[in-house]
Amino acid sequence: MKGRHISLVLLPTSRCNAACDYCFEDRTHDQLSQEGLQVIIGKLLDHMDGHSIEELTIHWQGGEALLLPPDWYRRAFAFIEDAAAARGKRVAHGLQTNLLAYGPTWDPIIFEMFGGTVSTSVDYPNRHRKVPGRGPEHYDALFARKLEMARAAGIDVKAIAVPNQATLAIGAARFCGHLVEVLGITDFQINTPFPGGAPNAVKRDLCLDLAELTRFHCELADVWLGGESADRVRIGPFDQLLDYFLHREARLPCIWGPNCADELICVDARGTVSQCDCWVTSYPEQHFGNIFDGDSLSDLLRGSRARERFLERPARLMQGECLECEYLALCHGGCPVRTYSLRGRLFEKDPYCELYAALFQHIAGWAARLSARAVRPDGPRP
Amino acid sequence: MSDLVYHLPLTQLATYRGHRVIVRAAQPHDLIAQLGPQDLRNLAYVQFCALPDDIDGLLHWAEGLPIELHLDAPARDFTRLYRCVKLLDTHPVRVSLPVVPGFEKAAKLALSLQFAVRLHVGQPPPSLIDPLIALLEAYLHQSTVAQPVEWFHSLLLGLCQGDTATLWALNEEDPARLRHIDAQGRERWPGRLAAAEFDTEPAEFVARWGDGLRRGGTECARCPFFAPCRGYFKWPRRDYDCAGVKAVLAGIHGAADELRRDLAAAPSVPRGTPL
Repeated sequence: MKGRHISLVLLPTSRCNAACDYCFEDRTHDQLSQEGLQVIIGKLLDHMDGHSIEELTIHWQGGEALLLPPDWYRRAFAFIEDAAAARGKRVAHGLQTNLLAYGPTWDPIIFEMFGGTVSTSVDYPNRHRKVPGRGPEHYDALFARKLEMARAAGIDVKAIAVPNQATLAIGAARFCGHLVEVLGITDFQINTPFPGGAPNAVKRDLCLDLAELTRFHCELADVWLGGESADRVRIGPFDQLLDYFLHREARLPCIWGPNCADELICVDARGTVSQCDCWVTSYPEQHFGNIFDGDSLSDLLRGSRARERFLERPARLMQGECLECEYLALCHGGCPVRTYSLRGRLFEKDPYCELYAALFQHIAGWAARLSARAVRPDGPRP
Repeated sequence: MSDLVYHLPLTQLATYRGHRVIVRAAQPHDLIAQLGPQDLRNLAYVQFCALPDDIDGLLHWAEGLPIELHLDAPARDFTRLYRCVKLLDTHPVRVSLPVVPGFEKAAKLALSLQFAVRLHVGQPPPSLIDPLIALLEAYLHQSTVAQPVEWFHSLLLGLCQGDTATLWALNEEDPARLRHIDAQGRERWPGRLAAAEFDTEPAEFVARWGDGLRRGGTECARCPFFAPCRGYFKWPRRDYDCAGVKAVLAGIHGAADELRRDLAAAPSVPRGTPL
């Protein structure tokens, strides 16, 4: 694990109130008990002690995380605060939710535990996000109402968006305009699609034409950086890449780290330990083990052959073309789960390689022009 | 305390307490067990002669202490650098490697992982000049390279700032500044000079070696890069053809000139100017 910090993607429930076509989660009725949580946190703190890790970030996801009641989180938060303080550790919490179950009863814990910020998921145009038995329009209306309620309560709502064929058809300007001007979401991240979990017709068509998707990404960067909204809007991963190329401190997404196995683990409600949420729900053959078995998370991780393969992956990729890439420092072969879900193999570079390289080059160009303008404000606009 | 730095194996540390030292070791547990807090004060850095098997013990030991990881066979071992990345959270870490076939792979990966790099350049054969120049280009101009590559980096800074340090000093091979202590405790001259016998005073070696080359009619007599080089590339073989390394040196000189010109021409940017 990384020297000072570890991330835990924690799935306290596998239940979900949505039925999105592309979901890779395995929706079951499993739910983590407070006793189970205490075991997980205790073993994680032991592991942190053993590896001199001082900081923990818990990313609460699901299923749908808000299907557990607010009081469950209140008790969880109190326990984690006390347990971490007793070991001299710092813990931060992040919440990923579809917001459909949000209501005012959530406000106190969202402010206390999550600092008044949540991350949600939004696609535009919405083709695949639904509640059971209803269409995307119903979902959109419900989501918009909940989003408005959360914002009215003073909650800062960030979002993750996955482009689909309709997104590419409307273009980057309309997409960005909808999120920012219509929904009022000024901090969002674009994720590339991948068909994790059980196959279905939608997942078969989920992957978009790479050249079109690349063009969309670059156009979105232009819309953001070339317009008037760059100061008040953040779009990931463009913002992190811009920081990187401007030689500012940059926290790049996990898909581009030297090795995500050094950075995070995922645990689900059953105690299954895996690399991240898609692995834990979709690929049993890649599980590291179960945290409720045995005494030690460190031993579980050390003894896991599946985890060893994750640790080996970047080094194995260096035997191929990644080593020749100008952007090796940014990518290291990309995301294992995108590779595995699309190629069925781990020791291969990310299938979105071409998109990443084009985006890196595009943002590097923006950074160079912005730097030149900062030095010579009377020069041409970027 | 003298200004000399002693590069010694861990087993000889006791003899040199009170001196400025670089300690080399094989494995972290040896180092952690034998180095006390009083030793850290005089420690320039620690060098692992090969990539350690397990670095976990080093993560929170003597945080901030510089560490050098040596790759003796860079083309074979470079992918193992991934297992050492965690060290960067708590230590400045430099990867040192000889300029041998395949060195460029290791240098590239090390820089991509945000390790600093030190090249043991010696007298590189013509086949390794192009990779050296490519690495220099990446160091100078590639936006994803943010760490120093020695000796390029210190020479460039020296040229920009009018510093007169020689390549002997930059490569930690000037006997006036550094001594090598072998496993038996014998004091030697540093780096490539360790195996030779000299009747020159260590403090005079660099000047005498350079002067001798110029008087002896070698290409050093007309070399525009003699001031920083002082015959560094003529050791051990005086007949080494410097054409390739001169191209590398010309690249660094050119970059230093360009940088000086750019800095002189650039308007001052107020602090906090947003980009």
